[in-house]
Amino acid sequence: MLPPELDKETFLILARQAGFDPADPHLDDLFPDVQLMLARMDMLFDSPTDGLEPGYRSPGTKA
Amino acid sequence: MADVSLTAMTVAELAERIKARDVSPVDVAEAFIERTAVTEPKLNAWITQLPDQARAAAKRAEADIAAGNYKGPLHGIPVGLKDLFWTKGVRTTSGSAITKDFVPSEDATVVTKLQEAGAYVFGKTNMVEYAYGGSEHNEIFGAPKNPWGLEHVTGGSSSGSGAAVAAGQVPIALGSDTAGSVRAPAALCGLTGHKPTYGLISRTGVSPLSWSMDHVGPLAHTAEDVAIAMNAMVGYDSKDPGSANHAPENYVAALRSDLSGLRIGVLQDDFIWDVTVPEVKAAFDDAVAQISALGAATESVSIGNLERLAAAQSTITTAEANTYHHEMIQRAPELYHPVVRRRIEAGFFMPAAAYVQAQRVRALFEERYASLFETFDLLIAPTTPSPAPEADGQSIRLPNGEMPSRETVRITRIFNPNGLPAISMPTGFSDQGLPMAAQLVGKRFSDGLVIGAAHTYQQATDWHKHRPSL
Repeated sequence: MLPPELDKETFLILARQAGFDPADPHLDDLFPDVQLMLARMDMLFDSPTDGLEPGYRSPGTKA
Repeated sequence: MADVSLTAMTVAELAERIKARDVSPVDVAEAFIERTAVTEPKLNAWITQLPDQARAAAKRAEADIAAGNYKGPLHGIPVGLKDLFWTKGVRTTSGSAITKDFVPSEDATVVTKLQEAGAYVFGKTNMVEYAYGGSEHNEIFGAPKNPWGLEHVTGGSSSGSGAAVAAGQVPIALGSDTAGSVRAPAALCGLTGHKPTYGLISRTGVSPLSWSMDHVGPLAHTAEDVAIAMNAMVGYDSKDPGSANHAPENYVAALRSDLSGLRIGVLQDDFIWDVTVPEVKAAFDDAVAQISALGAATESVSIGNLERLAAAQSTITTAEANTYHHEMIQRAPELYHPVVRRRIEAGFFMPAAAYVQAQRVRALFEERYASLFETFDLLIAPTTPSPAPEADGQSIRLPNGEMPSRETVRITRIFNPNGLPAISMPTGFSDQGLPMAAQLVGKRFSDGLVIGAAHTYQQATDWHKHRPSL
């Protein structure tokens, strides 16, 4: 499972690690997009995928 | 003075006249060049127009045909290319300021195949920046306008291809579809647009958005024209790692005259209907009734948990797009459209486990779709939840509120992660005179059945025959 929420402080730490300047005002615009992306991911981890391997069969292998 | 009535014709109609030598490819080229000159100032459908190249290609086609070397129904037919298809010696911008001067040294495989069939490149159509969105056009190129309502969006990301075909600037164009970027502009511009089975058409020389979900497909007036184009474009390509080594099919021969014996599942998921406006639903219900009258057995069915599939599609796109743009977006982030920039940058914050889990959800729906296609030959759903939203609007008005305008691809994106063939076909017009559409979806490699069923529907309806007045 992923953390349920990403607070701004943690986001700025991650942003610095990703190469952003934490003082860049652009990060204020980016933060909601990242929160939205993480919220979508929660839904993925709630899916019943036990026993399933990741991936998509190569299209050429099965018609 | 060119005969601009030619510009209202389908590829099949033009081909019949060219083959019979009632009209020459040069006449055809001049008609579309003149139509484009008149309408383009209103539409902004093109990034690069190539009238001189088109005239030269048309003259070669004319000479070939006069010499008895008729190649088939695409011979002498102009084709528009979304500006992410590589064209040798012609700039290929992907709708971005960053790659605005990129000139490929070779053609995309699919472009070569179209040219081998006798078609020629008419120009490069406008598009959403790097195909990542529904209306996010880089300001250096601006947004195309919908020929059915100039204040409305065309849908994207193959926006210029939709506008150009709808306006009669070109009879057919190519797009790419990662979440609905062929089907949504086809739907909102009153066209027929097909997303083929993943891997059926080569992506070599097509700038990527999301490698594992990018599909190349045509936008045209009719399913018959889609079939004609598919016959030329489909084929294994060893240079494309996703290419399907699948036996070729004659899609024109697969066109049907009735739907007898087909079982069609009518999707009922709340994910679809909670956001679909009443006008689209009414047109959809009429289309389903027509399909039943044509002999198909229709039955309500739900896929279930589509929010999860949509989330998987979005997660995979974010991760793969971030990987592709990794270096460019760090070098020149300010050159991206701000919304596209943020979508790509969000990928820097995605845990690896999320991408893997999205692939497991993809596998989950692989099983669900396999189960559905044991019962049904085809599924049907609306293509977009509403007619084309207003261009300056950030949301679509619904009976119970609003949703972001990017949700025009909400119902199309659920068929991308599993590579299913899906065709969008016009089903009517709104009170405002804007097109509405439904999509037919089949199991992988059932493209002939999907296109053939749409063709049957179009033999009994005339929505695809309407043309906008410009």
